[in-house]
Amino acid sequence: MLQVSFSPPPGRPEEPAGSLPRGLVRRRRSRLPRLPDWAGLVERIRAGDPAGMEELYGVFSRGVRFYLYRQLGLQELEDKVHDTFLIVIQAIRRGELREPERLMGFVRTIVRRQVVAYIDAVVHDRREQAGLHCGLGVTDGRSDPEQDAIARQQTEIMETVLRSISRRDREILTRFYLQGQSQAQICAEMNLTDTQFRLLKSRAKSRFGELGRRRLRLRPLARFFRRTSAAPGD
Amino acid sequence: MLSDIGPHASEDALEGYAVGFLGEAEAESLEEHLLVCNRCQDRLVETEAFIRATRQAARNLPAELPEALPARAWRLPRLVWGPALAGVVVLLGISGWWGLRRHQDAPPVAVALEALRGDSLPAARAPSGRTLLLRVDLNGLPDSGSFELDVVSAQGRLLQRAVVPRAGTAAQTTLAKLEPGQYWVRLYDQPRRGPLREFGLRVE
Repeated sequence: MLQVSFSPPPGRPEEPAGSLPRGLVRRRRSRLPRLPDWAGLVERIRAGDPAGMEELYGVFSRGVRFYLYRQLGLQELEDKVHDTFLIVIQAIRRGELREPERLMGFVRTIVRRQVVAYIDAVVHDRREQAGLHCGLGVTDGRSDPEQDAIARQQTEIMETVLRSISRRDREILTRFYLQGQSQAQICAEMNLTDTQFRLLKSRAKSRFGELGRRRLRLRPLARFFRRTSAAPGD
Repeated sequence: MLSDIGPHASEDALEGYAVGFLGEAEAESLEEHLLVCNRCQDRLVETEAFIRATRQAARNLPAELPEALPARAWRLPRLVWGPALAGVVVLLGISGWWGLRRHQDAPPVAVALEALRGDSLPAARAPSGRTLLLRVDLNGLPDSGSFELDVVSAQGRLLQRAVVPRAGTAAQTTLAKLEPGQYWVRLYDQPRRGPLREFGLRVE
């Protein structure tokens, strides 16, 4: 079996992207990230070049952390990210990635498997300990006061938005976002065109953002509405 | 030479992914893009914040916001107390019966079980004594036509089981009324090999 010693390079942003949101964030200029040539990168990893592993980490660490955080929460996040990279590197070295240009799909598959395996393990643990009324959870049920406050703020803003629009518009948003009805169904039943539907959603989002920014100016809640980390891939 | 990761995700795609309406192939492509695109990660987070806020706000607001009624000046006719009292009793009886019937016939309550972890909504909440229309997020799960869904009590006792067909990146099923308490909703593949996902559900 291949032994891979892997440690994240220093100086990389470690904050999970999933913790960024803080609700409303300022729109930034769109630019696609500059990514390395996958074939060259895979070749360097296969050859055991530490710079290749570092580059792999640099490209995927935030995305892997983002995915794991969304699915599993913060608990042992760094360990899970580390395990994922180990598995990716070992698999590449064993030659399991036959088409280097499919590297993104390959990493995604491994991350998904990691999520499924973790959930499986937790469910198994809970089943074993059911008699003890153990409160283990896959869901990260921690109640973070700051996040609760942000969520409350955002809900209040959205209540203001919903109160300010017509009953019909409110019904459309409720059907789509709360009741999970499809756009096609809503448009058919409420006699709407796709453009009208999109426009309504777009207006609601824009009003949500506008009210959020207004609150930001009126109250010292800057941290709730600001982007909290740099985005090197932008 | 640089690798091509395709264009940034559209607003519709991000929203479809967040609410579970995106097809499997599109979701796969988007997830790959998200792995390397910080900007789209941030946009997805924003989109989810908007959706969560909208859902919670829609739950908080009454279905029909009160509207001001026009003032009307009208005069009661002179009451004859016996028949009036009888009328009141009949009305109370009818309204009680109607209220009970409305409660029994109440439409199912929509509950979204989302694969969003570690954020501000740790577990889905639902009212007790009501049929629940459960919408389960299948984002990130294997491309299978249907799944098995178990509802277990906090002690792990199986209470309900259903086979739920995939509809895009979500699945929908109806649950019978539940007593107040903590429950776990588990999703399995078919044929059943192991649990794919588990959601917390608090009934209050």
